[in-house]
Amino acid sequence: MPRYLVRLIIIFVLGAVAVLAIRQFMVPASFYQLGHYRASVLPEVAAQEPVYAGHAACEECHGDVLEVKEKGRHTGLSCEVCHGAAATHAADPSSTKPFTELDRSFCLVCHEKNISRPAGFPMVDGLAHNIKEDCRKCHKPHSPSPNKGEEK
Amino acid sequence: MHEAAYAFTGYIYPNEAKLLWSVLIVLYPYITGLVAGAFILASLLSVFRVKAVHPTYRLALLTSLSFLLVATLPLLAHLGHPERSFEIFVTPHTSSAMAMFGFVYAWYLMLVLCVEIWFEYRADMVRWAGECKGLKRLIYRIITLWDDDTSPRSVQMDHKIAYAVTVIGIPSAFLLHGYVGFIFGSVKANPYWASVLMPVVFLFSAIVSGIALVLLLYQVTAHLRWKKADMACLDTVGRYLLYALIVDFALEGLDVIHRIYVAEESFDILSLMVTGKLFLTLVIAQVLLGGLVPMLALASTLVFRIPDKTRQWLYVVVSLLVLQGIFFMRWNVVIGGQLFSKSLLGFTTYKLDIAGREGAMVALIIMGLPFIILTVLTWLLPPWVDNDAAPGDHGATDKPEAAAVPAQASAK
Ligand code: HEC
Ligand code: HEC
Ligand code: HEC
Ligand code: HEC
Repeated sequence: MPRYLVRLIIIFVLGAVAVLAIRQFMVPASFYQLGHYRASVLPEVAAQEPVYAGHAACEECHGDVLEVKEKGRHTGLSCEVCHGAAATHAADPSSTKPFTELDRSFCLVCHEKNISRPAGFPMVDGLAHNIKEDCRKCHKPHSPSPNKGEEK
Repeated sequence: MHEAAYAFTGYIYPNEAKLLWSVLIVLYPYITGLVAGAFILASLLSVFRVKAVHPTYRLALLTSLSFLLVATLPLLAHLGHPERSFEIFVTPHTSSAMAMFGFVYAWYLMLVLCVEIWFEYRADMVRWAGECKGLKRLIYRIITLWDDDTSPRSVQMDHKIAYAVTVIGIPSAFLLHGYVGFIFGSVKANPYWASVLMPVVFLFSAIVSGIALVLLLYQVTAHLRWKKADMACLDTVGRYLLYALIVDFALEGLDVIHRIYVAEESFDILSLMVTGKLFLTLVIAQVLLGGLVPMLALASTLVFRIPDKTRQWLYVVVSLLVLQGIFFMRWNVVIGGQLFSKSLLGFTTYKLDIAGREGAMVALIIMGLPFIILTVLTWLLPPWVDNDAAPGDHGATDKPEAAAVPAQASAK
């Protein structure tokens, strides 16, 4: 066999060995233990603190808001849909305040006209319905029906 | 979201509003198609020993390589996080066709194309290493693994090995591009894509586009080097292009006839799309300009006596038309498959951005890269075979060698 051919074969063999060696380092230790994923990820994920407190947690301290909300048509919405994850706030209200989305585009995530939403769902055309005005001017977020929105 | 809301017609599901597979996913099958097509042209000719097209053999191999090197770029740009792409090699998942493609790609690049080019050029590179100086000499020395063996026995062996690699390479190239069609053909939820014909159609359109590209590049490079393109070679490649076009056209026609005849529930919306939103790109660009016109033009060269100069221009125009036609074929499959709603009741629209990660600029840059790579490759590994080579040109030194051992043709 010519010399160059021997060298070429050696290079390919070395390449294959290198790939296998690198693979040894790159496959995480617990990868194939339970399936095609890292088994050690399960305890890691389970150990994470939940960031959402849930509807019931808010009721303890915000009974007033809840009362308003229950009479309005947003009653089905959880508080954290609009206020974001608030577990840290529920645990210690004075340290953090929940974030409240105030932009028009946020309400339109649910209310923009879209033919695929269920029939009868309140929808508006975001480019035509009282444009440039804050939705909150006429709709109280906790009880959005326009004419009974005086109290929050 | 609300700007997009006004581009819909009829009823569509919310997750269909935005097309997720953009122009980059159009480029991906286009580029792999050019790779496979150029390689299949080169290898079929070397296996079936068609002497006339010898001038395009090396050029086709280099073209194939330069496009293969960028073939994954559209995917990486589309998905983002290119560093994660190596995970599919590290922890391969056999149930994912996409993941398996990584191996097909690696196999094709490293064990087929590079090896074939290496054996094809080795003896020449040894010779060039002796003739050149400086950096170029060093590069040749490294690539030839510091062995200057050009004995007839070793050259003979090179040809034998290259031949064997070609024989393995043809099914590999079929696999490379058949796979791309398979990816679409196996999306059973999408009636526009789901078809067992898809891999075959993709394969033949790949062959068509690859031949057209080599035909074009051969003429352009000949012109740029002030050389005359070999007319016999052009005519033969042109004839192959015609045959491939006919097969491709017949297959796609079969697909259409089948769809019309079975008239599944998706048929109405698809025909509405083909005659509406896709009219320009499908009926005009793909079928008429990319299929019928080139076929008629190529057939006319067989029927009528057309002067050389005119015929040459005709080949240039035909290859350009075919190349745009296949591009729009990919476009129609990828974009078209996402334009209509899976409810079969409505359409969305696709707007090609100019800037942005998936915009037209990125697409153009990716499309331009292979030509830059090809320029570098032809500088390093001149593929030219000229009959009237000027002295001092690499072609001149090429000639006796090429005549004595016409590449693969004398392998046995
Ligand atoms: C332990 C009692 C408690 C719980 C539980 C609680 N909050 Fe509060 N929250 C407060 C107090 C006290 C304030 C007033 C803080 C201030 O104004 O300094 C407040 C203020 C707020 C504010 C107004 C912030 C601002 O910018 O003025 C919002 C919104 C809010 N809470 C949402 C929630 C939500 C949503 C939950 C349920 C996940 C929740 N809270 C659970 C006690 C609580
Ligand atoms: C539809 C979205 C939405 C939901 C659901 C919602 N809120 Fe609000 N909330 C708002 C907005 C918007 C504001 C800001 C109002 C403003 O500044 O005018 C606000 C303000 C508040 C405030 C600040 C004091 C106030 O009354 O203005 C509290 C406290 C509050 N919300 C608690 C709650 C609690 C508790 C719930 C669940 C029972 C809840 N919210 C559900 C949108 C919502
Ligand atoms: C998470 C989705 C969601 C968001 C965000 C949301 N809404 Fe609603 N909205 C609803 C639902 C659900 C209903 C009740 C529909 C029903 O009763 O059938 C509703 C009802 C309404 C109504 C109809 C009241 C009526 O009597 O017709 C108005 C007005 C309204 N929302 C305004 C708003 C405004 C203003 C915001 C922004 C602060 C907002 N919504 C944000 C889901 C949402
Ligand atoms: C200038 C006051 C005003 C503003 C600002 C305003 N609305 Fe309204 N909206 C109304 C009134 C009044 C109605 C009831 C009459 C009607 O249907 O037009 C209404 C009705 C609605 C309805 C119920 C439609 C139905 O079919 O029941 C929704 C949903 C709604 N608005 C959402 C919004 C959202 C979201 C915004 C902010 C992007 C907004 N509105 C801003 C005054 C306003």
